[in-house]
Amino acid sequence: MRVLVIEDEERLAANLVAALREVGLAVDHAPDGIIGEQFAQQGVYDVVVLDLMLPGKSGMAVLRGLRQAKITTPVLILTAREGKESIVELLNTGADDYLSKPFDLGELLARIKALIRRGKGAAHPVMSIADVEMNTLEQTVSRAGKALDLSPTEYRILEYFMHRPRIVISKRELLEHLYDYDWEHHSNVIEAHISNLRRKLDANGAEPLIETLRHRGYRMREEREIQ
Amino acid sequence: MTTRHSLTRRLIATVLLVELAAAAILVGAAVLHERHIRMAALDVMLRGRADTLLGAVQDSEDEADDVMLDKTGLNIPRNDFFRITDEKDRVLGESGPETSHLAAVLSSGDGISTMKLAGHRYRVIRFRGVRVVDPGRKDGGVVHTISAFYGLRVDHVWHEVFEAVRFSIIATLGLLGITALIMVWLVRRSLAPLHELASQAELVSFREGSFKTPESARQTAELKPLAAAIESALARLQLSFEQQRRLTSDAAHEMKTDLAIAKSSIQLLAMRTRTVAEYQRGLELCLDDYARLEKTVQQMLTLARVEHGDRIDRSTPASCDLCACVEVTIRQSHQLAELRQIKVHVGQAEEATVPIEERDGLLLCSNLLLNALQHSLPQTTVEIGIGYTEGDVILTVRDRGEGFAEKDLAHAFEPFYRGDPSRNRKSGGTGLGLAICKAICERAGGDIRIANRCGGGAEVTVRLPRSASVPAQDSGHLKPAVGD
Repeated sequence: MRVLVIEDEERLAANLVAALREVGLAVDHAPDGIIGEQFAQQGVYDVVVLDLMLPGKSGMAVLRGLRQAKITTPVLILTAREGKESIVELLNTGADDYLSKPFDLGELLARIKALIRRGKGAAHPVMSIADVEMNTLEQTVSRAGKALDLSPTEYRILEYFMHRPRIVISKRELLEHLYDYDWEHHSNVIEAHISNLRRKLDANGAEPLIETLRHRGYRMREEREIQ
Repeated sequence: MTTRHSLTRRLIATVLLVELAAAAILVGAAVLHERHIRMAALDVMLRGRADTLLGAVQDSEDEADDVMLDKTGLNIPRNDFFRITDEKDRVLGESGPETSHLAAVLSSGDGISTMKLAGHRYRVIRFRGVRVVDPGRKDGGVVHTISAFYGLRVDHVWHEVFEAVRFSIIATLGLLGITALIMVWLVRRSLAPLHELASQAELVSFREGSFKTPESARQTAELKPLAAAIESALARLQLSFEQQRRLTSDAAHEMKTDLAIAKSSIQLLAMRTRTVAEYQRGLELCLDDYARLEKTVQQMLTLARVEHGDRIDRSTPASCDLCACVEVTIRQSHQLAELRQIKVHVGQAEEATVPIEERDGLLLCSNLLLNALQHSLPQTTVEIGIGYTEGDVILTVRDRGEGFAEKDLAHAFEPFYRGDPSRNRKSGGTGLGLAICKAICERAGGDIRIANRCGGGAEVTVRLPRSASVPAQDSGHLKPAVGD
C-alpha cells in the first residue's frame, strides 16, 4: 500500500515517513501544497495524509482540487487549529478523517490502516480469501491454518491482492501501489516476487491462488472457483 | 449607603425648587398686596368713623359754652374704642374695653398708628379738631380744640387677607403638583436616549457583535460625543482583543506543531527494538526537537516580558550603548556569517546610549543581524549603521536578500507572521524575532520600520531616543549613513 504525506514541517514529515515505512507501507512525501496536489492527482495512493497549513497551497484547497478531479483516495487531515467549524467543513469537503496535533503516532498509523481498509471495502483487519487468512495488524499470513513466512514485499503484494480479489491487476498498478519514488524498481522485480509468493502459497500442493493473465496482469481467485 | 446621584431626580428637584420659590414669592406678594388694600380700606373707615365721632361733638348749650358729645345716632361698633377730650382735658366721651390701657395711646402723636392694647391689635387714629360754639356771635364764638382718638381692631384683617388669597395658594400648589408630574414624564422622555445608549452598551461582548450607537443617541447633541467615545474605545478594545486572540491561537498552533514533532520522534523510536546506534541518533533528534520547542517557549516569554513587563520598575533608568551591543552581536554571529559567506560592515560611531536594558539591546541587535544574515544571499554584505538625529539614535540594518513581498511589509512585525511560505520554519526562526524587536523599540519610546531596498534586500530602521544622561552631541544633523 502506498501513502502520500503532504507536510511542510520537515522533522514531522521525516518522522511520519519513517514510521509508515516501518509498518510496511510505501511512502512519498510532498513538502508543499502544490507538489502534494501533483502527486495526489496521479491517483496511485491508497491514502493521503494532508497537513492543513501548507505553503504554496492550503490543505483545504488541495483537498477540494482532489475531490473535484474525482480522485477518491481516502484523505486524513492533520491540523493544529482549534475549532469545530473547520472540522465539519473539512469532512464536508471530502476529508475522511482528521487528527489534531500533537497526535499519537500509534493512533495515526491505526487510522491510516483503517482508511486503507475502508478504501478497499474491508472493515476488519483480518481478511480471508479461500483458505488464506491475513492479519494486517500482526502482518501474518496463514493458509489452511498453517503460517506462511513471507518477505515484506511478498506480504505487501499479497495484501494488495487480498484487497482486490477477482480483479485483474496489472504489473504497472502493482508497481504504483507498492513502491514509492525512493525505491529502485523494475517490472521484472515484481515478477520475481510474485513467483516467490506463489511458491510459498502453494507449497503444500494446494490449488494455485494467483493466476497470470497474459499481457494483462494477475488475478487472485476466490473460494468458489477453487472448490 | 452609597450616594447615588440621579440626573433625573436632580433635574426635577431643581425645577421644583425654583417653581416653589416663585410660588412663595407670588403668594407673599399677593398677601402683602391684599393686606395693603385692606389696611388702606380700614384706614379710610377709621377716618370716616373718627370724623363721624367728631361730628357728634356739639354745643352743650350751657353757660360756659362748652361742648359735649351727642351720642344719639352714633353707632359705635362694640370692639372699637374712642376717647374725646377738649382743650381742658375734659373727657367728652369714651368707650372701649379698658381705658386704663390707653396711656400709650395718649402719649402717641397725631396720625394713624398700629398698636397692641389688651391683647388685641388696634389701628388707632389720633387727631385734633376745632369746634366753634356760637360762631354767629360778634366775638366769633368760643373755640374749642377737640382732641380725639379712635381705635379699630385689626385682628380680623389678617384673617380676611388669608381668606382672600387662600384660593390662589391652593391653585398654585395644585399647579406645582401637576407641573411636577409633567416634568417627571418629560425629563424621563428626554433622557430616554441615555438609557437606550446604556442598554446598547450593556449588550456589548467581545465574543460577538459590535457596539452600535442607537439612532436616538446619535441625534442628541450631548450624547453624540459620549457615544462616539464609547464606540471608538470599544473598537480599539476589540482590535486588541482580536490581536491577542490571534496571537494565542498562533502560539498554540506553533507549540502544537513543535509538540507533535517531539512526540512523534519519541514514538517512532519506541515502535520497535533498535540498535544502540539507532537509539543514539533518535535521541539526538528528540533533543533537537525539544530544543526547538524550548526556543519557541523562550521567545514567547521574551515577547511577553518586553510587551507587558513591569513598566514601573524605573528606579534606575535603563540604558545601554547600542554600539557595544552591535559589536557583541557581530562577534557572536561571526561563525554564521562566515558559513554563509556574508560580510558584515559596521559604520564607525562613537557611542549611542539608549534607554533600554542591556539584554534587550543585545536581543534587538542580534535579532536584526541574524534575520539579515539568514535572508542574505551568499557573498553579499550586511551593512549596519548608527546615526543620530536631534535627540534620537538611528540604527539601520541592511541586507542583500530577497526582501519582503509588498503585501507582507505591513505584517512583518506581527508575531508568527509568515507571509511568504518559503520563509517557514526551515530558516530556523520562530516568527517572533521582529515582533520582539518592535516591542523593545516601542517600550523605549522609539519605533522600527522595514522597507525593501532598491536592488533587492531589506532595510530595517530603528529609531530610539537618546538617553538624557548623555549630552546630545552632533545634534541637528544626521551623520553620513554608512554603506554604499
